[in-house]
Amino acid sequence: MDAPDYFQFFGLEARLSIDLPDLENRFYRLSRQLHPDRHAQAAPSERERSLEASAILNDAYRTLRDPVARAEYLLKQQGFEQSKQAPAELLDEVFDLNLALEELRGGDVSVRSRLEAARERFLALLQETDAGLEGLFGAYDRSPAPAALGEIRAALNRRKYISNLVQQVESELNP
Amino acid sequence: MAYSEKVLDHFANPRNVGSLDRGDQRVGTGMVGAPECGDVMKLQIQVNEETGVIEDAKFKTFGCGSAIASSSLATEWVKGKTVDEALEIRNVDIVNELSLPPVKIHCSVLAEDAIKAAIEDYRKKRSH
Amino acid sequence: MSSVLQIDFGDRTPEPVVGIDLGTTNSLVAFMDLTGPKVIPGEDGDHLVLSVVHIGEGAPLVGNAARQMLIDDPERTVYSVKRLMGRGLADVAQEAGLFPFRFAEGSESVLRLRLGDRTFTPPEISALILLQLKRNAEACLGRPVTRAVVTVPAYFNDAQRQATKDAGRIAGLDVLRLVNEPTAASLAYGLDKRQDGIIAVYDLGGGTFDISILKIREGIFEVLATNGDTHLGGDDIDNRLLRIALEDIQSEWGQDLSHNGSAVQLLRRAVIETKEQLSFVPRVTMHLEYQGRSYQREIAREQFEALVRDIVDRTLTPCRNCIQDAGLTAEQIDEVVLVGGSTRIPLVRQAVEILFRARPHTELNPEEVVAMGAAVQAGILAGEVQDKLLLDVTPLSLGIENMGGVVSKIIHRNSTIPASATEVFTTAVDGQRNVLIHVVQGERELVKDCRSLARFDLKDIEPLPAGAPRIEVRFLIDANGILSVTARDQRTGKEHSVEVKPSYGLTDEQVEAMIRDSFERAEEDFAARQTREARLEADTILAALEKARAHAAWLEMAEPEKAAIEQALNELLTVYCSDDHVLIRAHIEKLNQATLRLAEVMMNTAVRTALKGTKV
Repeated sequence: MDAPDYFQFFGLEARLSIDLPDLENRFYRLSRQLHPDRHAQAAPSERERSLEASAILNDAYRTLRDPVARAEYLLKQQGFEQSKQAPAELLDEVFDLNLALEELRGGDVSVRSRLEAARERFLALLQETDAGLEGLFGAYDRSPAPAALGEIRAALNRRKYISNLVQQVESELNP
Repeated sequence: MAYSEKVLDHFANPRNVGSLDRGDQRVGTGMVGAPECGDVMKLQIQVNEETGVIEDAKFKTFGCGSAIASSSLATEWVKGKTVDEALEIRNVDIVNELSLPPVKIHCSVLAEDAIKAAIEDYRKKRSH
Repeated sequence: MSSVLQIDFGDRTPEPVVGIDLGTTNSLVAFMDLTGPKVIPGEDGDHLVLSVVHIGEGAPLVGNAARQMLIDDPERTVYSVKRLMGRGLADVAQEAGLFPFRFAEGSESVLRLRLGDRTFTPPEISALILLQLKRNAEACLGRPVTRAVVTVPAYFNDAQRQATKDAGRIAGLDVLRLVNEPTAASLAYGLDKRQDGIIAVYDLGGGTFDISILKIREGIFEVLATNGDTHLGGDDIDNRLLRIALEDIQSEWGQDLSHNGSAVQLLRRAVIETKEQLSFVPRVTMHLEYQGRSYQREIAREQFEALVRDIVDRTLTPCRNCIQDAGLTAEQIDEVVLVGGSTRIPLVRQAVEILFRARPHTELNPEEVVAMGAAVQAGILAGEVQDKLLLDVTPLSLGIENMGGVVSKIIHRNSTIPASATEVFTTAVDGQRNVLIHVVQGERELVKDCRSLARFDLKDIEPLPAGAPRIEVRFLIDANGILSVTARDQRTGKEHSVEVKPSYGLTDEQVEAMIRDSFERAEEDFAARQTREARLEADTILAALEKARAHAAWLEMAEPEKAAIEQALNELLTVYCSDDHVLIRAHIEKLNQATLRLAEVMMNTAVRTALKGTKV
């Protein structure tokens, strides 16, 4: 089965802001219909279909309930692939951060406080980006224009980069 | 499939690791990064202002083996070339030299971008 | 209208589906009666069937009947076989010394236990336990039992799950579903009846530890996260006490008993009794009588607790990770359920209370609750239980090997199953004919730190320039948590053959051979059983079709489609009474093919119906 459009599968319009309790209701209702447990006594062909449909349902739910995954999905559908450009304004700071991480790995514990400060800074940046995204999502939903998607694409790239950094620092600080 | 010996060699014994004085008029600095893996690469060149020949090059890369090997190779190649000649280096050359697998081609792109960024930075300094 | 619907298919009362808890220490079978799940006792009246198998000269002894053989003939008596399921020699190197039986040559990817002059794989031993449970159920219900739900630790990987399914097949059981033990326990508690909320199930069994966090709403049991350790359980506590006793004896008697199978088993029994009593009284005297000598030692509960505290503590990290993965804090968990005999230990209860800040549920027998839950799930699959539905997750991330031994994750852990992912593969060299995909399970970044699952070989690729072929590979984890892989050529749209080489476990052919060689063969004519099973399959599809024809989707079928289905149906009915199971199966498949589109339309209708009435 070719994967159908996730929004359509849930009977929803393609929007970046979604009413999550409503999505959950739909998910539970569809699960009751499609889950293999509901078709265990059926013919093999129907069991096969149920397995396929239920896998798509779960994949779709996982994608749509997470705002970032949802936006990535919609962008990909609209032909906006992830860019290979890192946000230039962050690079110097990222470089210094990596140097500090290397020193920490080398056994220099004194850089811990520097790393903790960096983590706080990047977490704040992440929040800032998220707030910005929320605004962009709302704007797109009010008037879905491709131009708005370009801006969202850039913001998501930035977000991805920052969240990778946070994870990296996190795992070094609390291995 | 495995990495080529050249990649492994450049990874195990990277050439020209280090940094040059950013404030020096003769030095150009290129800083580039890849969003998906968090790699970041700093490549610096020191140019002879009379001949336009790159006399020294240094790099420091945080990332996977292919990224380190690509930037190591890039510094080797730019040394002794003029700035214009260095601009001719293409990522394909790096891919071929190191036999990079398809999933690591972006590392060579990063190295090419780093060379360009360093030269651009050097030229910007000169025009001031 | 054709005469099809008037044909009498014989006794159509659906065959029962039983629920089985195939445990490390004990196994149980249960079924749903009108009042709810009931555990079926064995011939000796005991609810628990000891998970022990003795292979002697005659028929194998299974369960409580094999208990004495642990002492009389330890080299040919297998216990805790669950710890060996889906594992290779390297996995069990550490504990191999504790088992009195030996492993045979060629145990690298599937363990082979040497028992007397024969060798057995863990699924074959488990099959003997399943067969005993099947017999117990048949004796109690007075009819054949061929279908079952079997529980597995939530943290079991693909190979361990596959091994459990293989055991079912060898025992002549169609395993309709593998259910995770903690999830089954939550079903047994009927917690949905009380209120909606978040519950945690803490399951410390004989050999495995699981923690699952579920959200319950209107009969839907949605697992949010699961975590655990497949090598942590009551066995480890026993071994701790055992080691102390062996050391004592060595210094008192000047005799090392650790390589004496019978003595170790006697001592193990003493140790287990001591452990169990310590849950109820503050001090217990452990003693052993062996060859006219006697050993005694008093153990106080405090001493015992100091001895095993680190084992209990080892369960807490998975708990904390699980809470975090569920996106919750401990305060948000409304109720905690305890499962597994080891949760009777007061120290375990305390640790759980402190971590979850809630008094755990212990109303149901922690040793029976999993089997009861399996029976509820069996009821769901049989269509008898309509109001409940389990949505479980995959415990481990699924990844594929990339260049340089790096894993790229394609399905993350705690994804609701069934779950799928699609990846496109291509060639690296001109004219390349094969692409090998290495699939692993685990959370680490490097292949060597993850569990190798299987290698999938995409064969007969059209010879094209490097990078030109585009093979779309779909990874699908089914509701049992087991992976299947299909591939198709993106350019031609044609299905692509995939050859599976499991890293651990048996190939299909090996399982088939074991079924043929199983002890079952002596009791029953193999062909007759095949025929009976084929007719059962036919019954299923005939009943399903009968239902489908009452469905709105039937009206959407074009006349030629209906005619094709009718024809396939009549052909199946003609061969139904023959003794040729191959012929029956061939016609089942034909009917199945004819109804493919009907099934698809029904599924689409189901989606539409489900969405009807939702605000858009």
